Amino acid sequence: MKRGMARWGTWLLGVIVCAIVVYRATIVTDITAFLPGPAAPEQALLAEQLRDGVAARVILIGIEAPSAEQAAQAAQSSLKVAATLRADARFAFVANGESDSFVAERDRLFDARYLLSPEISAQRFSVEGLRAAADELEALLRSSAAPLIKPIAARDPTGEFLSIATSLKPAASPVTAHDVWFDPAGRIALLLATTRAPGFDVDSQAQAVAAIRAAFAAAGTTDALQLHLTGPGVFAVESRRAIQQDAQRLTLIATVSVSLLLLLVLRSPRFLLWAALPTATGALAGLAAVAIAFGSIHGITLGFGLTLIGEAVDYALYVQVQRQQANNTYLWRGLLLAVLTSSAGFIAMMLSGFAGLMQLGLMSVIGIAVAALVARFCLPDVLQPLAASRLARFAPLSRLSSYAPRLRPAIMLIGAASVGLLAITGDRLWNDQLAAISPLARGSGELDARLRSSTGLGDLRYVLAAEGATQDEAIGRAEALHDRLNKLKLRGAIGGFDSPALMVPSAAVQQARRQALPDAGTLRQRLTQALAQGALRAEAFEPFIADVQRAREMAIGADYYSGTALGQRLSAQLVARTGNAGSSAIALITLSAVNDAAAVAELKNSEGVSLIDLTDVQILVADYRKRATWAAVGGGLLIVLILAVQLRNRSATARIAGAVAVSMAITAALVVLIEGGLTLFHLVALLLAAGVGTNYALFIGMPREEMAPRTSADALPVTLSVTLAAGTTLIAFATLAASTTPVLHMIGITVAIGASISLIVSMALAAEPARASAAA
Amino acid sequence: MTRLHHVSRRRALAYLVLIGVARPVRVFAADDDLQRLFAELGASRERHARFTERKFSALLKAPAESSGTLVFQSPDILEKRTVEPQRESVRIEGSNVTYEGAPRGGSVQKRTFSLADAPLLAALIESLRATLAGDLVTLRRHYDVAWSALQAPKSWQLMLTPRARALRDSVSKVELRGVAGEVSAIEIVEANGDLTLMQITPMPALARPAKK
Repeated sequence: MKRGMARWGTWLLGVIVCAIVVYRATIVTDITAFLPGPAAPEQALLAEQLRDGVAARVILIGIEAPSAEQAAQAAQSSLKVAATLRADARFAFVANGESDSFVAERDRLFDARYLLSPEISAQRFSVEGLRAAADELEALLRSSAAPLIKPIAARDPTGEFLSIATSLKPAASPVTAHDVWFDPAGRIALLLATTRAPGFDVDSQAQAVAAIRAAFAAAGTTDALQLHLTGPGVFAVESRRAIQQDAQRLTLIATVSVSLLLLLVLRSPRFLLWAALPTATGALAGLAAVAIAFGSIHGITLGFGLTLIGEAVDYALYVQVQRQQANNTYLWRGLLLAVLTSSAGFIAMMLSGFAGLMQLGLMSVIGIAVAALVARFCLPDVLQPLAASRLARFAPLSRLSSYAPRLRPAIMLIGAASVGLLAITGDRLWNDQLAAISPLARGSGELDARLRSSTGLGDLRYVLAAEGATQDEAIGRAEALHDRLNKLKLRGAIGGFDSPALMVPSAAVQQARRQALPDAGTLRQRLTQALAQGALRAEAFEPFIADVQRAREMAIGADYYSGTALGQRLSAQLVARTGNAGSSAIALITLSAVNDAAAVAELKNSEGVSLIDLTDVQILVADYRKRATWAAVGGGLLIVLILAVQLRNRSATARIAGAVAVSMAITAALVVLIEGGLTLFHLVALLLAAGVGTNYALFIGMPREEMAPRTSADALPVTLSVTLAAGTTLIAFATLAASTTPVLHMIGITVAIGASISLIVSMALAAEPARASAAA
Repeated sequence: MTRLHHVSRRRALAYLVLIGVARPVRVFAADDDLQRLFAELGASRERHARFTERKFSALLKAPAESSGTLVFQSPDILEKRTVEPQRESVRIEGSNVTYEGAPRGGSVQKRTFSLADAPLLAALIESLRATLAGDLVTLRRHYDVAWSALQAPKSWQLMLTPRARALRDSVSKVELRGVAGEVSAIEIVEANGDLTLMQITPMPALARPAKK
């Protein structure tokens, strides 16, 4: 009893410490932790853009009126929603086309026009240049366009502001009606909201989505209006909600079914209550370990980690069914081996180098180890071994299992065929659906496409990244691309481009433009000369002379635009990085309406320039595949090594390892046949299947030296516990497989198949030949 | 004291000029009369007219003159086709503006933009378009409207003062004059003193270009 006190005291203390650690840990939901670690610069940039890029942070809002006649109400709502969101600190930038909202931006661009305009040259400020500009201005002032030109004509007679506006104007912009953006049909008022939080911070995105819905409800113009939301963050929020709902419902169904099965077989409600103890304690310890090692727990670790240590549920079963009153060496040895072999797989996962998988691996290793300890040292105190009478009722089962070895030739054949199938499938084994982990790459429905094309965000897909040691060097490299980009634009290869260098030219370019500006006296004299013949009065252009003088003293950086929407745009386009090669700066140029991807791809030949295709998760997939294969091979070898060292029995090691290998080959082949390929989620699920499968093979195949000769009846507790374990796993994961949520379905189907196949294969291949011949 | 004296003297002078030029019968007409005038204005669904325009600007040594035709279709289509000195056209439908012409002497360019992008132009267009449409509500959204009847039979004058401060910074006032249901002149006075004067002569139906 004293030892019992010590055990339970240790357990309680451990649970309290772990609970405190987990309670204080922060849960992060940034899915990119599960993307591969950066190997190539393009991959790092892609991962960064997927996580932090503007594209991932934009929420598109559509407010739809039932008819074009009621569009004014949608516009009203748009104005109110925009005003509410602009006051909300969670949004960095809200645009709805309102004319008032661009005043600050326009003023700053206008004031810096002599540094920004690509037309600035010494020639432009010569007498001839000024005369040409004056002729154009005169014609404009006489035309019907005069009201557009007049307000700024005296300050900007050379029309620099117009050329800046032209170069900064997006390739496509929404239609304006009732002072706000609308879709071409004039029924849906359009807004763009950029969140401060990254697109994959699902919690923050959920808050942002809720804030938008609340703002729309508060605007409450009329019930007839409908709110549409779309964007990567919105998808992330919605898919998480769908997964949670599905998971809750299915978990309930699975729990009830598994409990019923166990109650029916073991007739022990007490067992049901205590069976959860090892797994629950293990999960808590695993999470605490992750929190301590990584500083935070990832949402996915939480979800998948619990799935992965699902094999710990079986430990309670093994302990309950196989335990005898006296000698339990065999059981404890089997349990130890089960933990060691499963850990080998998870350690391989930790070595894969993906932050997300490292967390999962750590959580699983600690989780199953602790679960095994609790099952070993605590459960026997509260559970009586299964009565022999009850066990005897399952005698037919052992007869059934004794027929299994006859299946050997058939299983070997199927196993060989499976390996053949996997080998033939080769690289196609890996489903491109791995792209499903990037909401940006997801086909996002008709509404999304419609809103995107209406806002001119249509195909935010290609980004050119110009990297330099300093921000100025990066900007300079981006600037060097402008000529070629303009040519592509003229040719129609791209619809347009948005470069930070258009708003903040490099220091060298700013210097050159400043030097092209004459001093006040010279400019006044040239202007008088240029205007002598024409219809314009030279005296009216003193504001122009004053502005040129001011520009001669001016220099602008990215901070020039702070506090405006342009500043927000720039901060997303000028990125500072700290890599292993020291710090650097990147200028990102977004390309819109790319029609000729090959022509665009040629741009990356320039120094320091790379092209990122935001939908191309292929390069991530390739890297993933290599590491996953390596991890699987490493894990497999480690498992064989552990078996060999622990069992010191070559034939048993071969039987057990062989059974697991054949099971996994068949399972993988079946999953590929049914699902059309393997994704990240199938892979994680296969690891779990391998874990439980190894346990089945272990208990069935582990030699027991002290008990010879063996009969199939001796093995009954083992057979029963393994069959029960496989049965409960099958029920639980087949329920998950019925889910319409892809992630849950993938995990469910893989583990359900894996557990069933492992049971049959283990009985056929792993069982000791002596036992098999005794039964025959 | 002298300053106040000075101001009131200038205002008195302005009244004198007003009386001298426009000779209003009643300076402040009842709102009913204004409503009646707008009902009359709104009666024609389609109008064609010739215009001559003179722009006085501090930027120009001499006034710029132009002429052409105006077409209005109720409720919101207004088209200004300039023939002299250079061919160009501005068509406004709803809040969309289509400009076609070659002000820079090069090839003809067609440009479409929203009135929202050009608030000054939007207000100026609305002063004429809403008046032609007989739409007092829209007109009052942009301007304070003062009305006076002139001495000649059925002739009238509208004085529009921009309501938005931003607009008042560039346009001081717009004056429209007309007889019965026709507008005959529009005068735009900008804050910087620039002035645009447009004379409008309705075209009889026979003189109009064939429709479509």
